[in-house]
Parts: sequence; structure tokens; C-alpha cells
Amino acid sequence: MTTDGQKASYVIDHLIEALAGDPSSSLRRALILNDIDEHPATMQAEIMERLQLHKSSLNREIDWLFNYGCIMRQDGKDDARTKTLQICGYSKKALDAALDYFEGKHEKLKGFVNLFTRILKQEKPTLRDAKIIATLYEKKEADKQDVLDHLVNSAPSTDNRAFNRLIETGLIEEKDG
Amino acid sequence: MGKSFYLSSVSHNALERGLSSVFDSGASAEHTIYHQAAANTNSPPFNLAARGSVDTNITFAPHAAL
Repeated sequence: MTTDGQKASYVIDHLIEALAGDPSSSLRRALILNDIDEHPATMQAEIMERLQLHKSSLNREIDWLFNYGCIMRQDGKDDARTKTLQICGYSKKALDAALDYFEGKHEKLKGFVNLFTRILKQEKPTLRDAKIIATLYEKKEADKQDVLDHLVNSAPSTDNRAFNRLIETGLIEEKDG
Repeated sequence: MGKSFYLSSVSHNALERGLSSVFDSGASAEHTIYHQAAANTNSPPFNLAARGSVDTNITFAPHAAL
């Protein structure tokens, strides 16, 4: 039987895969990708309104998603100056795999990402941070390397810094003795 | 054996409640199988052009369509 902790870990892995295999991707970026998939041919202004994001930060994320082949842009039907956005390619496949854990419901995946955002309490929490706490949740207790070994496509020094930051913020505690 | 770490009880409880709320049905074995296969892939497949017809109005990032 797959535990909730294992499922959380798998979902995070699929989200990393959907975002060009980059664990430094923010949870916000994952939310944006999920929103674009939920609303095919959506426009940037609509995403901004739905997710309550600032234009400048959304612009950066949309550019990143486009540059890494996660989304495509298409001229609007009524106005060629407006672009509609659509998830595509490997991102679509990986996001669908993540959605399988939520019966295909985008709202639940959004709830999952927001849950980690609330718990992490950082300015810009990443999928790496989420993976670390999901792994530790599943293991209950582990040494640092054992947790970091679960991160893929990731620089050890960056993983180490992320783990230490989670200790500093009190999310992770060291066992006495 | 290095030092042992664990999630703070507040974080652990919040995660426990939240996860049981979002995962209200069991994952099938296929999930695990797909996950393992995905984990063996080192880089994302930048093969969008090979995935079917491409609408001429659609713009891809230059390197993404290679």
C-alpha cells in the first residue's frame, strides 16, 4: 500500500519532471503550470487574476515555462496581440502523472501545492524544499544524507543549504543524543 | 551513523492532516511503476515537434522544438 508520504514524494517528483527536471523551481511555478493545464488557451491576465499574482513575477514565470518548452503561445482568436497559453510536451505528460494522484482534479493538486507552501513558510519555497519535508515525513526520522539521497538532478551543496535552512526555520529538528 | 533529524511536531501534524485531505483515494500500483520509470530519465524530453501536428500559429521556444 502506498502511504500519503510516498504519494506526496511521487507527486513532487512528477512536478519536478514537468518543470524541466529543475528542483529549484518554485511551488508558485508549479501552481501556474497547473492553472494553465486546467484552463487551456488561457491568457496571462486571467492567470494573474485567478492566482492573485503580480504581473512582473508572472511574466518571469511564463517566460521560464516557455523557454523550457513547458508551454506554447498562440495568437488569440479575436485579437492577435493577445497570446493564449497551453501546456505541452513532456510537461503535459508529467503533470498528468501528478494529477493521477488526485483523480485528475486540478483543484486538489493546487491544494497539495498550497499545503506545502503554507508549511514551508518561506518567501519562495521550492520543490526541493517540499521534497525534503515529504521525505522526512515519510521516514519519520533519518540522517541528513539519507534524506538528500532522495533528491535527483540536484547539486549536493544546494541540497545541503536547503536542508540547513529548514533546520534554521524550525521545520526540521535534530534528535537529542 | 550521522545525526538524526525529524519534522517538528507542528509541521508533521499539519502535513498529516493536509495530505489525508488531498489524497482521499489510494494510489494504484501503476503510479509507482510510472514513477520509477520517470525517475530513470535523466533529462526532460525536448521533442515537442515529434509529438504530433504543429499549428502554424503556435510559437515554441527555439531550442524547445529541436
